[in-house]
Amino acid sequence: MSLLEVRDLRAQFDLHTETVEAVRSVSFDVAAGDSVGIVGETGSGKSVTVRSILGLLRAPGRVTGGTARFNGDDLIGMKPKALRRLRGTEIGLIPQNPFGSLNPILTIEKQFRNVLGAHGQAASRETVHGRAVAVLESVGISQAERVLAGHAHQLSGGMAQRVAIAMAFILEPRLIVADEPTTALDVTVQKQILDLLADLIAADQRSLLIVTHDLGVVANYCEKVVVMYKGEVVETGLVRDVFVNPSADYTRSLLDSVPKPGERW
Amino acid sequence: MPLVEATGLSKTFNVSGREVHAVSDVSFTIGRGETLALVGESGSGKSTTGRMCLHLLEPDSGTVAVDGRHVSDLSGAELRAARRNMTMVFQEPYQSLNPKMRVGSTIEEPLILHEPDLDAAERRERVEDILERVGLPREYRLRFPGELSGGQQQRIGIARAAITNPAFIVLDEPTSSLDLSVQAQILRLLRKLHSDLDLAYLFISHDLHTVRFVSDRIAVMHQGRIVEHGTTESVFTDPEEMYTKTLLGAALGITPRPR
Amino acid sequence: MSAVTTFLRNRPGLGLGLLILVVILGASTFAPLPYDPVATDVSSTLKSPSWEHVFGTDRSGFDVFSRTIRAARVDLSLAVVGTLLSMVIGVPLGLLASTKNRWSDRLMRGLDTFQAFPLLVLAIAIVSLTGNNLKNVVVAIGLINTPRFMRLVRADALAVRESRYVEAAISLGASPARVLRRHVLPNVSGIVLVQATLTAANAIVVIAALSFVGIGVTPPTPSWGSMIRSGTQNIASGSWWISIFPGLAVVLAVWALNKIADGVQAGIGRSR
Repeated sequence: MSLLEVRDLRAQFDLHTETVEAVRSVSFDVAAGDSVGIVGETGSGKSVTVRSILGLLRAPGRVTGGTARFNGDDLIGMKPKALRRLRGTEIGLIPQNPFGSLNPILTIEKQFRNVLGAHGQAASRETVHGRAVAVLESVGISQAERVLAGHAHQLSGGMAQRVAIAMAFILEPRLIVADEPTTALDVTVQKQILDLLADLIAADQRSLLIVTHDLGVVANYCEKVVVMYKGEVVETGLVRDVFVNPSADYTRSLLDSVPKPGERW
Repeated sequence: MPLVEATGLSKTFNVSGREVHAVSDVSFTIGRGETLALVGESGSGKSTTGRMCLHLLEPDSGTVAVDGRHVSDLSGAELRAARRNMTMVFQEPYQSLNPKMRVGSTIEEPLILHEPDLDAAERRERVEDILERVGLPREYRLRFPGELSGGQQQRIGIARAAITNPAFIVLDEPTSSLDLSVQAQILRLLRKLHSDLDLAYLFISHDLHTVRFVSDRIAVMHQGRIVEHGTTESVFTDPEEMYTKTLLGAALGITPRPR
Repeated sequence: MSAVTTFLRNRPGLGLGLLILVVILGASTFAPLPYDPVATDVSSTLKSPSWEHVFGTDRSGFDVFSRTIRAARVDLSLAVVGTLLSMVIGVPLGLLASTKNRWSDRLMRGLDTFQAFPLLVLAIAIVSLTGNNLKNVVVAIGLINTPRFMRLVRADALAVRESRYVEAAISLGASPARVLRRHVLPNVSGIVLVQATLTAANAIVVIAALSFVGIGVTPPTPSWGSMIRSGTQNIASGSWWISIFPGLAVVLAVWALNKIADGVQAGIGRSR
């Protein structure tokens, strides 16, 4: 049994004038230790899929069918309290925009304390501080003390994303979900962050689910790929198979649109 | 004589008390019908440089000459008249189009400004011609930007920039905001116009792959300065500077890597 | 047409507001009234509401219902014309004030001084100084509301100027005047429309207040304000209908205009 099993997931948006089916019967698996990339362009439904699975889909969007079993328990329809507990301790979320998820007013350390406290692990200040320093160092922040005492706006984009990753990892979840984690970052920083993510995943046999529009990210950091187009899964498989020998037309046209080295005017 | 000659461009901004040297002593040339790519990450100064080339921003020092005229010296009506020959395509297609104006009005504005002898019927014909050239149906001149997709909106932006047959177009990350499959289409369109109209491009981008596809020469910018420049092939196959190598190394190709 | 009907169906408040306004205006202009609004009937004074006189009669024997309806014509048209006047002055000045130069700063500073006066007092002062006639009421309304439009337009225009399509227009060689006319103004007009309906709503209240204190609309021409005033003397003796109905009319008209403003605002909010 896979760590995450999504079957026949459906979600739609109820707008004033029409109903948009954003996710139509999407199914895929993430096994323990897997790194899976969901790739698609705008409107493919990839972000809505992931938000639906994690219970983060807001009105006017709603899930209309299907299951998403995490370790056997269906996340769809799970009580909010249980879902929240799961989201911190078993499933870690890395957002697209770290500054959107970091509180601008609280110090970084206070935010770590809140995260740990929400799951009953903020026993003492020293413990919290110690764990925060450790996890910040594990994501490559050498000046952990300074960062902890400071605020979000003092961080660069790359640093903020490292902090967001640290917050996602501190409770040692088994599945990490990253929604376009590097889109907002510069190319050089992007590689560092993705390398970091790959190292952290590999170190503890965690699973990774990345949502992205960037084929390069999937090619270099994922073993399996789920290709989405207009709310449907058009192809799944191992990256090394799909990228070299795609079976779906859409996949092929997507791969073709990336300029190849040597190809010129 | 090169079409575009930028010499010693510099620009400093005052950001909440601090002085930011966005561009420091940047010089380059672009020949007629040539494409120069300006590559850099955010904060490298590439967009600021592009705008100084068109005198949309006032350089603190340095000059820009386009087709023999010193653009940096022009102002008022003379500068506006010169804009017939040098235009810009912007990064965010939707933002660059007036949401209250129909496509046709947006595209014909350069004609109203620079070819006032044309009457409405003649303008309409030119608009329809350029719409065809950029691969859109003629009827689209009646549409509003909000009704179109990102790729179509960018085609409008390109049509607007090309309708007066300028010699020089600055393209500021023209495909960065578009979907992958659409990017390729737009790049092909740009290539076609480049050859059909004998245009010179300053192609600003953060993406090395795209740039390799479109440019004759590349200038790499880092923190306001050009750190490396040369023909596309030489920059890719034999980079000299550390930063260029880092940039090249960070660009992700789509060949699957075994893990 | 279907786009308009969908638009209205989704915003019941807006539709209702428009409907009420149209009904009021239409009735006051075209509807046959049961009694001549300016004809007195000394034989039936201070009659409470009945089938004969739906809203009752006042001290002079005027039929309150007929006068309430007819007053709409005067009050609403004064409000609308006054609002239009302040738009015609305020919008261009606001656009000009959004350009960065010495004059715009001085203009805004002068505006601060002007707005320091309480508007109603100012209106009374203007009319008292220039003479008590309808024209001056309109001028007063126009003047006191001009600053509102100026500020609004200036603020919105400043934001619009930062947009990419304005930069694009400049990059094409458009002159500053053309940029203002073709690119800034059309994108500011939505907010101006909202403000106009709100200003008209406010103007109705101001006109009522002015005629309440005897300025502006003179008897026997019916105006909600003067009707309310004439009724105040009779409330104590129990004839409540003389003031209440015109008062309700003011409330209704203001409510309708506010609903329209809400609807328009929601409409432009969407398209932004």
